Amino acid sequence: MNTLMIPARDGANLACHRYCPEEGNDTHARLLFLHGGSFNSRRYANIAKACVKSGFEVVLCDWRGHGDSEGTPGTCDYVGQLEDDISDIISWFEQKQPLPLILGGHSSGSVVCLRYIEKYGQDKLAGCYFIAPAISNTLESLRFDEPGSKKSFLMNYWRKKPGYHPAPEGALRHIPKMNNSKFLLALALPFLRHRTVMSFPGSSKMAALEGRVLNYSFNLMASVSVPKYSRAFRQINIPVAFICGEADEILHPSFLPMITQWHLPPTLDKEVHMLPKLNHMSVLSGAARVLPQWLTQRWVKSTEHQEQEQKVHGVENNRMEQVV
Amino acid sequence: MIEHNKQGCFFRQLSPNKLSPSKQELQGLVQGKCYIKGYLTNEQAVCEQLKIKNGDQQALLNAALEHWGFEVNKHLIGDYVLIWLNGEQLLVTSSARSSFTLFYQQESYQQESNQEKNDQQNNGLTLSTDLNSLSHEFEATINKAQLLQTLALGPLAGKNTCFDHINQLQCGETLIWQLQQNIELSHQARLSHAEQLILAQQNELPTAETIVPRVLEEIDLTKLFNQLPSLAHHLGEPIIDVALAHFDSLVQASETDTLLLDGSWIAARNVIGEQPFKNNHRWCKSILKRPLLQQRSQLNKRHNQLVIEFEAEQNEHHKPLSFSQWLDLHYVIPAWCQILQRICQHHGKTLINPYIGGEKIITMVTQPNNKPAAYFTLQQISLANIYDAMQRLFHVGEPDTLKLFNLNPASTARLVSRQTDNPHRIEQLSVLLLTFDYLARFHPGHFHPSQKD
Repeated sequence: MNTLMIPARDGANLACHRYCPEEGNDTHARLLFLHGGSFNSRRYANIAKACVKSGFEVVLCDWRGHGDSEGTPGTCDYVGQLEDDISDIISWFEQKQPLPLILGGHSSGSVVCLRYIEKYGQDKLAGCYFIAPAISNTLESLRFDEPGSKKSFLMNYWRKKPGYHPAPEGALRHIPKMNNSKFLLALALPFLRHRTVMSFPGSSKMAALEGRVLNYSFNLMASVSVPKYSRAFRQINIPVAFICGEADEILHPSFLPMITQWHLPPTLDKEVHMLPKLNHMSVLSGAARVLPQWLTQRWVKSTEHQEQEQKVHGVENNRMEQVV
Repeated sequence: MIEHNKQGCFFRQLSPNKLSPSKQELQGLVQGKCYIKGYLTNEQAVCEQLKIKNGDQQALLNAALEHWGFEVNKHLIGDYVLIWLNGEQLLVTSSARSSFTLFYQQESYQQESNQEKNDQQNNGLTLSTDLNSLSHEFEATINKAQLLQTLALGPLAGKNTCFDHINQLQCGETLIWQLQQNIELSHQARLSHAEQLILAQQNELPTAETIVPRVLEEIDLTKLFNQLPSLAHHLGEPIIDVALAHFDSLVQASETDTLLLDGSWIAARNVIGEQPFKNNHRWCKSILKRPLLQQRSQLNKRHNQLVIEFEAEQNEHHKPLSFSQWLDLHYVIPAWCQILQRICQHHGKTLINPYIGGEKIITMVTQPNNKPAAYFTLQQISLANIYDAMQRLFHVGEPDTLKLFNLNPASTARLVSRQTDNPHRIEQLSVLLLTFDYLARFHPGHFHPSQKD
């Protein structure tokens, strides 16, 4: 593994931890992986190693202000800066060493990928994957009801919410808390948009040891959310995989199957892997198993096919030459 | 028999003009050869009558067509559509109360040449057994009058489809086109309803395994909800009833290629009341926008046509039928069976319909109907709840959907609150809206209301 510091458009250096297959082995494609909210790339080394074994180069990127990247922890200059950073990283790799690029991430990292696709399109991508994408802007995507969900339901649907299912104690350890009044203030007053509006659960001592960022500003929070998931998902026209634990504390287990059926093009190469007994964080161990398989089925096979095709074309060309 | 394929049988002929030579695309059709989609049940008797070697279906069909011409569907009994390309003549016909369908488009239309960018007028004819492939071939726009009719009454068997300029061969109808310089429809005839019932009664059904009856208990509603978009995509039109997705999942799961229709699936059809046209669209009037409301005159026109037809036929039935029973017998049930057959065809399977005619069907029509029950309740999870999903269209729906429907939270909430009074109808409306929106999202060319509106 080697760490590259890639300059973003504003001059900040972004840390990218690069895992390459051993020399002499073919590299089928490059995976760009974005970590989840509050974490950094350290936690995802297992997934990277598993994919490298299958012949893929993996680049784990630290968001600005996270891990080894420069930037103010817990905030960003403007909403949408994270996808601009991804664009800069992609352009850098494209210039230095082009390879088919597969973009994805875990939790909020997936959402940033989705925002990138919505803003920059998919011309530079060969595929994408989303591990437990934290789409939490809407009521229906959530596994558990939030305290204000009855009111939100009434405002959206103009009728009473038929049931209320709050999150159990155990699940609350993984769900970030939003301060609604601070959020509304920041929405109204732009100069407050660097102040904390959302906090992740966890002790600050442990967070400091792990290099986690526990408090997010309005700008950063808005940069890791997708207001209209339907509009974002429908644009995908490259092979896509969703991996999620059935016991995920944030996403409803039926959300991703619904997305693939209703919001992705009908003829798209799409897969959903709902992994039993795994939650929002433990899904990473399952992803380290499933993701290399999904990649191998698509990119390794196609490379072999290309080789076969080249051989066939070679034979045909030889025949043509003989005929001439 | 034409082999099942997902593209459907496809025939295309463009008449010549000054700019382009005659263009003929034949996919699966060969001159002088007759094609049948479906099955015959009196093959042996016809073989004996025409002195054809038993077992040679092609020889039998050719001989039958030579012998009876455009009246062939009076003599060949079964459930089928027939296509015969003979010289410069193309004959298509369907059996009495056929559940197999054939779609066609015969219109002059603008074709833009990619090379020259010159708009040129072509007179063309295209046939397909698959509505999806045909609507993809042309930039067909949605037929709003038909959409309103489907909303108000459910699907009715007839010539119109949900697309402008794409028509459907009706049960017992025969059409002949002359494929000359100008493609012209030279013959059009249809068996009367009474004739069709008599002919269908002579059917001896092939052996088949009965499809699992429709039971609403122990259904995975989330799975069923997620089945709707793929079904709409495969059929190429909005879905009117969740029962169709339920049927689709069972057909997909069945291991046999030939399935016998169970009566419970016909019972799931939309039962129309005695005052269908005057009252049935009022319940959802609040969510229809002007482009759809403008189509009411066509709905009334259709009503008047059906009433005239009903009054003319009243004496032909042994037992007098009410208007809704007559409509059910000749328009609702055939249309429903055609959709069920199309679902089976999509999975490469054939549906044998024992309710094609005879006493069984009359009993089904005349017995007091219980309104079909709804699948979904308001207690279902919001993510896969048909009512919540329909209401969400206000926020996430396609512009084309919002142009046709007034999907504001107040009107849809009022409609959903009526869910307890008439759950099946509200469910049907929600399904139609959601599948319409899905198709508008991924086939924007097709489900775009015309600019005139």
